[in-house]
Amino acid sequence: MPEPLVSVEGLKVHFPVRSSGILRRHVADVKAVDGVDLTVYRGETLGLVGESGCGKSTTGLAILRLIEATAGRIEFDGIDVRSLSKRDLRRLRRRMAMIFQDPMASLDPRMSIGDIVAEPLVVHGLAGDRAGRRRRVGELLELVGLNPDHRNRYPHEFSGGQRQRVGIARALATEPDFIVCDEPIAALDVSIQAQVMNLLQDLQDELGLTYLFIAHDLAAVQHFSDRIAVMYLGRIVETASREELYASPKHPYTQALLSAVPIPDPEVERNRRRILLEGDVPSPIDPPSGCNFRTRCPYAFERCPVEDPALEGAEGHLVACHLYDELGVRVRG
Amino acid sequence: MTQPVLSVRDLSVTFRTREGPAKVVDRISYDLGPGETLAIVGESGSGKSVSSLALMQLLPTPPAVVEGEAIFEGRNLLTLDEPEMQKIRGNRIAMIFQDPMTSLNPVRTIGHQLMEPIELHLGLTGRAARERAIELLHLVGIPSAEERIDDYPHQFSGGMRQRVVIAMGISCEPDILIADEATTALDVTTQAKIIDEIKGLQERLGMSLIWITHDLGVVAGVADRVVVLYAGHIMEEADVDDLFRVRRNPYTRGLLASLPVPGRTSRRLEAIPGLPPDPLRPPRGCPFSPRCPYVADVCVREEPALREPVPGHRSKCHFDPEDLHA
Repeated sequence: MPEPLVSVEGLKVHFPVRSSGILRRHVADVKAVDGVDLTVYRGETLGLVGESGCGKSTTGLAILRLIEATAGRIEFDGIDVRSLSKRDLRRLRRRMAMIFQDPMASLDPRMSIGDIVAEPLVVHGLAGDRAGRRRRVGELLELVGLNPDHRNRYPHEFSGGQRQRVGIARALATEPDFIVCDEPIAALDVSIQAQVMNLLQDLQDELGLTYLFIAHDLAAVQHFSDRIAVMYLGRIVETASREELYASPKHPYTQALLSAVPIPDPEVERNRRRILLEGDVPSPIDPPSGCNFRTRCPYAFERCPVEDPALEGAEGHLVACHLYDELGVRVRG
Repeated sequence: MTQPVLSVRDLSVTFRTREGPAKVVDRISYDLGPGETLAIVGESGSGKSVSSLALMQLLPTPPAVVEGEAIFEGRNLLTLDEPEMQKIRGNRIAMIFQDPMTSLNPVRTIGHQLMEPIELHLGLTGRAARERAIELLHLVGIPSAEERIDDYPHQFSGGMRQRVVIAMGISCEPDILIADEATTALDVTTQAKIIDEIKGLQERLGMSLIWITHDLGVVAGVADRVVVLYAGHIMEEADVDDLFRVRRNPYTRGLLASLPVPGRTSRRLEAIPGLPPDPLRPPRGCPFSPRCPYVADVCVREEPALREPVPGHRSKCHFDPEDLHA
């Protein structure tokens, strides 16, 4: 049995909404993340997929404590992340890193790429003196397929894919165990996406990395992940291995999502039946009672508005839906 | 084939820059049939958007220099004067863009914006124009259109905004609708609904569609014919089934092989190495030769012609698919 590296229980991140008057009264909360449970095992890739606004990026940021959670428990390698002091958190951060969607926004345009990659080394006091750091930066650039002689160049001198490689080199600088990849390929062209995904995979094999891969592109998530968690309106609705999720999705939302992903094959496209969802995603300020998918669910029944379904099931395939019993067996048509 | 609605011949667009001329669209030619959906697919910088903006005379000239012909009803769109063009643009040929927030005016109600083309091109006014606008909102699937017509763009979700933009696009029942990455910014479930909506409207109104996208999955779902652009050149043009099945051109092959396909279990993707060329410094010979796994001497010496070895299937390559060896 693989051991968990990251486990999250009941994670909530609520952002206060204040009145526009002088009192700035706290009038409501945007429940961006509203009770997320997930486990990432050592050495695996967990894909976290969902549509815009579902809270997937916020979940990633909260796990690294780059934003503070409102409630819940986050454990990293047995350490309770939320109770750490600033100093201890900083020490722990060496072991976790993040790769962002838009490398142009996450790389300082006034720093050379060598300095960008060296910054985490300086912050954490790693790799010794200047010469040591220089050597290490050279190694890191080479590792991600960039020419170390280009270390004095600036981000604007690189293409989108190369800039993403710089972001990856920076993430690897402190030799982390765990990397949150937040839409790392969404801003890249198709032919470059494959290059970056292959690089991330090679690095995982070589360095034994554990990834949380956050994306809206289900085809990419499915290709890249060992297991997949599907998120909707601040909650995980289903978790399964990538094969299971593709072959037998259980949650009505997962089924709709899968049916909507365009497949590059005209014959498949002609013959598939899409499940079109009614309406829009409800506001996270005032989510529906009970199951929060029920307002768009074609199978909703009396129990759904009353009771919040738990995420449960057997053999690693968990689903939060009243159509299934606690072992994940369908009990309703 | 029946008489095409639009015939593009040797369309080129060159931008004059401080560092020299950059030819971003290089002598492209295609026909669009009545009621047909033509997908123009390519990566960023391939010229897919610029070529369509050029058709609509929406490129600033200078710095752009547009050459060639685009024949619509016997007239060349590229040489029409602005008053003539205005009668066509939005009326006979309409265009919808990727980001609805930049196509909509944030300080005007959507009703106001929707009535503008109706009043301008169809000559309807007041009550009649408003009724037509409400009808259009119904048509693109906006619930309680009678009330929502007086809302502002920020009061709509992204998907609903894009529906408003589509309503504007089809408001004058154009002969041709050009959709430039019209669903790219949307979530997949919303995208599926919008595509459904556009295809339904196309059937009802008999429009021809030019669908510009980078997403080959969307192409497979919407297109009758496909033009593949790379570095400003047409690399391949075929009927959608032939394009995906035969994979005549090495670039199309590479593009399709680099896509993750749900359900396929192979762990590694076949990435295309390298980067697209800099339009200021195009490679000699074939534009794809620096990245092509099948590259031969002739490829760097001579630019291949866009040959048509099988009727209706054109490919810009010196070789036939059975002669391609890595």
